[in-house]
Amino acid sequence: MASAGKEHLYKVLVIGDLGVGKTSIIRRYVHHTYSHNYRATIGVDFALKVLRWGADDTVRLQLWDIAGQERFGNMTRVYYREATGAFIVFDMTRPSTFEAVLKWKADLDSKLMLADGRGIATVLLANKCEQGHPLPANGLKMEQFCKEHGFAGCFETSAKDNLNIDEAANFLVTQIMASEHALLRRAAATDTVTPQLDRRRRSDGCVGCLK
Amino acid sequence: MKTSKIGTSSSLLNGNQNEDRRQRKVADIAQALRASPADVAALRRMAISEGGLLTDEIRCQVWPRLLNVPPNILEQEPEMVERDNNKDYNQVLLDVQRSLRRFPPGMPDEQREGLQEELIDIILRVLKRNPQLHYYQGYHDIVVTFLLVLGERLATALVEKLSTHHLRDFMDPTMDNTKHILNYLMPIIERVNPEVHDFMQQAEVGTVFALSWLITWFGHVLSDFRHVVRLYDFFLACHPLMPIYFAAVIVLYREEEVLECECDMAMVHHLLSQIPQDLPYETLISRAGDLFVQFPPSELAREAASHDCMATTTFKDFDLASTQQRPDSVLRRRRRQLQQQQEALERSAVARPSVTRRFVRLAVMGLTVALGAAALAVVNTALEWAPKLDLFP
Repeated sequence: MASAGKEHLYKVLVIGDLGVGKTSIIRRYVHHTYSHNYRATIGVDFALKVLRWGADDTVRLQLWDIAGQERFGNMTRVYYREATGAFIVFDMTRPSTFEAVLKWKADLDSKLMLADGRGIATVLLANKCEQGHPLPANGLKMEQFCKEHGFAGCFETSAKDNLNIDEAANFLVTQIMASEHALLRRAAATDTVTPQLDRRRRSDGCVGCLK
Repeated sequence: MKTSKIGTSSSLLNGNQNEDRRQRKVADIAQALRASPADVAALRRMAISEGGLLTDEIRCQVWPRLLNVPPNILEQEPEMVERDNNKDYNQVLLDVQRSLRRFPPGMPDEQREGLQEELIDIILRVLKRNPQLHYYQGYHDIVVTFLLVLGERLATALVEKLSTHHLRDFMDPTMDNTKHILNYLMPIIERVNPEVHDFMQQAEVGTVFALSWLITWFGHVLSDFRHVVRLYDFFLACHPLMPIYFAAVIVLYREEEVLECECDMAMVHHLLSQIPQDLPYETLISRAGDLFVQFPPSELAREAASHDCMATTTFKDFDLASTQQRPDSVLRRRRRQLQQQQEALERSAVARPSVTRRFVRLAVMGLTVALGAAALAVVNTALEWAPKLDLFP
């Protein structure tokens, strides 16, 4: 039904405090593997995931794994450019990493904004859920937290046990597409205005030409 | 150099010759160590030239000399560091826990866990003693290398020295100076291969792919420990900016791959940050030395940025200190004073073609062989380079 064989390229940032499992999530998602000896990420890593989307669309997800240590923030800034989606990850077993989530969100919003002034589609991941310490703020409270702070949604994930990662990624892609459509609609709406302006100008121009 | 030609005709002969050369090098190193004061210039040449310092046993003796750490440091009991309420502890712990791959594959868990505890202690100790230093992710990759080669006490001393000199820029409150050092990368690449440079500029890949190389001296990205320590031999003997020259050499070595890559930031970043594990290290080391001689930092500095980074400015003082390391006894101190007077006399006699000057020539010849540098280039820039490489003892 949709234009056959369409290809979408989306740049997605994976951010959050150090040691929350950003690299593990990406490795699980892209390479289907898990190891407990991943190294700390220094600077920025990159991975590509190609998804079949719908009947015959393709989604190419560029996943940018951003180092968690704050001091790299200034260096990794350039990699935020043109991102259309983000995962903010925290470790369910370490409350301090949840507390840092809002800091990461504010940082993200300050660095990136869509044309309509809104932040990019962002999904919150509560990782290491297999270690089963439910958060103080879970269930309904999480839903409210997301709404209040501009997250499109929240998933409890486990890179170790491969829980919810595909689901979270699919959800993020849907959200990215939705905001893309919203932007296109806006653009289309402004487009209908532009010709009117143009026409007036062009008539001026034409008069000038005729002179 | 000769052996490589003969090598094809008889690998046995080649093997014997390699063994001969190795034995000769071991003897040369021993001699340089026995000299009083130790012949640091010779030790540096050994650390740079093919094969580096050969064994960890030799490294235990030579690395302290290269960093001017007195051997009696081993007698000091390392102080214990409080872990509770330590601002760095949580982060260091997280990074050390994720450093399993840096330990030899066959090592029993218990032994490894003991070393990881020592690793944490060393890092916290150095940070506590030097409050001006800030921990960065990757510092643990440097420290673990020293720990595995030297053991806890010696590693603490060397890491502390290194942190206040070669690594100083990386340990600022911000990464601004580190960024500045990374800025040397593209000018080096441009001088050697403008096509690769332009391609990378067009892709807007930046230099962050080389960040972990630089701040861990490649310890973070190379999986074979032998390669890591070989590079550490080289870097410990050289100017603190040498790792960025080595980074440039790796990019240049992969020229074809780079140019074949899609000219896109993500793709080029991905390609370059995946470092090949089968690099011809000896060749690349000599190339990096070559580039350093031909395009010294002073020449690139203008392009890299306006302000000089701290490691390079402190290096001169440090270098001066390491050329004057001697056993710390009264008798020797007296002799040292005499020697220093002598040296001062020689130094003041600038106009006279002195013994010192002849020594420079010899040393440069040694380096030419060691680095495979073009003789002309060396002669042209030796004066600029020499003070930094300790050719004027």
